Amino acid sequence: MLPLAHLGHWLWIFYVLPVIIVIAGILRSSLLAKRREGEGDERN
Amino acid sequence: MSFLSSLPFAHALIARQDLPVPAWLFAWGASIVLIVSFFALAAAWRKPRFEDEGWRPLGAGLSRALLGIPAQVLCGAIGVFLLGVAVYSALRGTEAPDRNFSLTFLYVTCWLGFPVFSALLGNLFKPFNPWRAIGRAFGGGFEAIAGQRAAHLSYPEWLGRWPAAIGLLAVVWLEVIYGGSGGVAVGLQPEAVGVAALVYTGYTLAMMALFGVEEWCERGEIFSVYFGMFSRLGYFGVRDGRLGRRKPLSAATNWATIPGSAAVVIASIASTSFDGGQDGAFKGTIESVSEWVLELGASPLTTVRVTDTVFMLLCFAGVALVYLLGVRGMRTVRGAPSLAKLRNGFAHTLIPIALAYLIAHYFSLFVFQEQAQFTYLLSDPLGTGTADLFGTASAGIDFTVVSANAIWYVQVGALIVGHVLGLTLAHDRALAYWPDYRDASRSQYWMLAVMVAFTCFGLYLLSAGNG
Repeated sequence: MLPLAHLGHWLWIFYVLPVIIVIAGILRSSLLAKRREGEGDERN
Repeated sequence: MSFLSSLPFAHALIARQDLPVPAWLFAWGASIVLIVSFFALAAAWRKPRFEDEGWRPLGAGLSRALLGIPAQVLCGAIGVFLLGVAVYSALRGTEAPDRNFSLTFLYVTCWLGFPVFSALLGNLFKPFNPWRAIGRAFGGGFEAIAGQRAAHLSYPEWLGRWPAAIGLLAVVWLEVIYGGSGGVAVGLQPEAVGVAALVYTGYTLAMMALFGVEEWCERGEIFSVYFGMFSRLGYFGVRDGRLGRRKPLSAATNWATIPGSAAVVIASIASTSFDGGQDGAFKGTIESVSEWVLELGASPLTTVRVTDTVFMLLCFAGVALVYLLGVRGMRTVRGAPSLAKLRNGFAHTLIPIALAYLIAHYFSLFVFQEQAQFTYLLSDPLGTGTADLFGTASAGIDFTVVSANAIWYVQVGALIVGHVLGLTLAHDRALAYWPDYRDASRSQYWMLAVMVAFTCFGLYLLSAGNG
């Protein structure tokens, strides 16, 4: 038997996942932008 | 609201829904809607549009009719009369919260009705504000007798709207925590509401005498500040004594210029979150902490009140923290203004979210309880069974008027629309702060995270409350 009775206690994880995905995407694009800016400064 | 939680019309007590997909998938769907809206705004919205209200006055005759002295006197008198009825029924009526006019009138009809209708139609509370009407009548009387206007102290600039923010938490605290049963008491006693209303009347009139009626209403009077905040979203407004139209949402852009404004809107979201979560998402944690406090030797009632108060303050801190993290993130983008400017400059973007939270959490309560308000509570305000003023004292509430699924879709719809509007306001403000629209869009990554967090949190509270 799977312990499905306790599944309800962990449903909050499904609500946190979209937030984590969005924050991860933001961090990634921010780091890429910073790196691009850094490379641009080096070239100048 | 929790005084109703033991009764069949509680907002948390909704018949189980029959949803086509799990509730958490709605959080994913809402997040996708926000992300798509974010990229659509970044691509197509390149100039600020809300900084200018686009004010267009309505006809002078209409302004005179609706804003003239006779209308002001009439509306003020109605406000004072209704406050009097609420206080009288609270002090003299039945102890049963669901049969007494005062609780439903103050905590449902006014507390929930004014925000929604003000957002649609403009600042409806201002003309009906009983304390403003009394204060102005006293001021007019003083002027007639003394031949000069009453002198007032200058209001401390640093204090701003903090009295309203603290007061807002206190209003909710009175109902949700002081009156909250927690299995210990029977709920908020109407008498306590009546006494609180009288104390608040004395306090408000004293503050108006000290600082002036309009000054106090703009900054310190809880209900004027709170309902006035939502009215900034609306299409109609008043400027220089003239009724007019403006772009919806545009008046919100200059609302948060007074210190403490961010605290007001955060207090609104936090208090709604706490009320929504105390019987659902936070229940287990609150119970664990309560047991710990109980072991310290506190009485059961004190334990419930102390624990709930701490959790309400934690909600306030949590909402503030998420907002401040978003602001801090914006600060990292090239060309960003100061942190203080960002903190105040984006506070108004939370107003649609506060409204969305209010609708999402109390929609069913409002729909059900307003049936009581306009039937048996109106006919028998004291709830003693001795009056039937309009012949509707024996009417009841039709709980089938909206289905459980319809309630859920209204809740989800309100949360999504509210957050998309918040995102739009934030994007518009960023365009005003950053000269390059690409930097402005990049700064809004962080507000997108804030909006997604608030949406998912709101949906989690609802699903846990309904479960």
